[in-house]
Amino acid sequence: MLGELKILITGSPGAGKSTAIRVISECPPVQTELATTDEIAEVKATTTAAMDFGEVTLDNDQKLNLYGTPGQERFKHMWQILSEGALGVIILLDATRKNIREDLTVYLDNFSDLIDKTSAVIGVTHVDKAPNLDMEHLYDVLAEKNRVLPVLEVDVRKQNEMLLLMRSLISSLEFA
Amino acid sequence: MGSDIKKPSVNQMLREFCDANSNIIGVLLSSIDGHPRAHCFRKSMQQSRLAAMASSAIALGESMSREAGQKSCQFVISQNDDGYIVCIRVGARHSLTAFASSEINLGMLLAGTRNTAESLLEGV
Repeated sequence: MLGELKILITGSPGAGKSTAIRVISECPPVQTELATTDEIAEVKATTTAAMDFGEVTLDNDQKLNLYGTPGQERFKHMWQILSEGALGVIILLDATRKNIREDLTVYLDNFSDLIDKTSAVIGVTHVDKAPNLDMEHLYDVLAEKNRVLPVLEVDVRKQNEMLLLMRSLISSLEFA
Repeated sequence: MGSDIKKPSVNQMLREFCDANSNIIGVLLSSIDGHPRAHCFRKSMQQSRLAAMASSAIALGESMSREAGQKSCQFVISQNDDGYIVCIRVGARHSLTAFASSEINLGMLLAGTRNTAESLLEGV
């Protein structure tokens, strides 16, 4: 057992980062939601402006501290702060957004130092609402960035699916 | 004969606050989720970055206050080597951030920021 591990969850606005932490956290999570005043308001009434925090214990008694970042690039200052000491990152992407390729590129680029030192997995959410989604777009981006990372479809409202994503990340850390 | 008193604009209110004390370096009105709306700065500062950071600061201040059972967060105050930064909500959808040098009286800064926020509440 490695003591408490810090895992970062980032990704596009509305992808489900706060929901994911709320679903799997063993204790009521810390959430820092404020009202949305821009185009994101069409999707959701509030947005994370600082961080989410939750805790989960895996089967082997391994404790994970989960830190969720805001999704918007203007909160990049929080991305840097929250990346400190993280042992891996989960990137959640909303399949219904206009340009999922660009979204993935943003997070791969901004978290590249962290990914270089640790690892990442990519979770694609809202897939049921995006019948025309072509996952090849994501594999193309990964190939362009010379990254070999798992890409999984996930419903963040389902605890077992989020835990699978967590376990995928932890497994990949062994090979990082 | 009705009253025809013109309300000051948002920019005027920010300017008045800035001009009230030479130790006030700047004041920034932003949306609660981090978009700059108006500002009055005596020196060059990145309003977009500061607006986003103010949003994060207020979000964390409010969360900590709830977590500690201290009810509502009134101000987020950063006391720095060369000055103060204070953030306050302006209603549900905006925030006001004041930047001042360390020569200022903190109590006066807080009072001035609160008063300006209350005036802005009617204007925004």
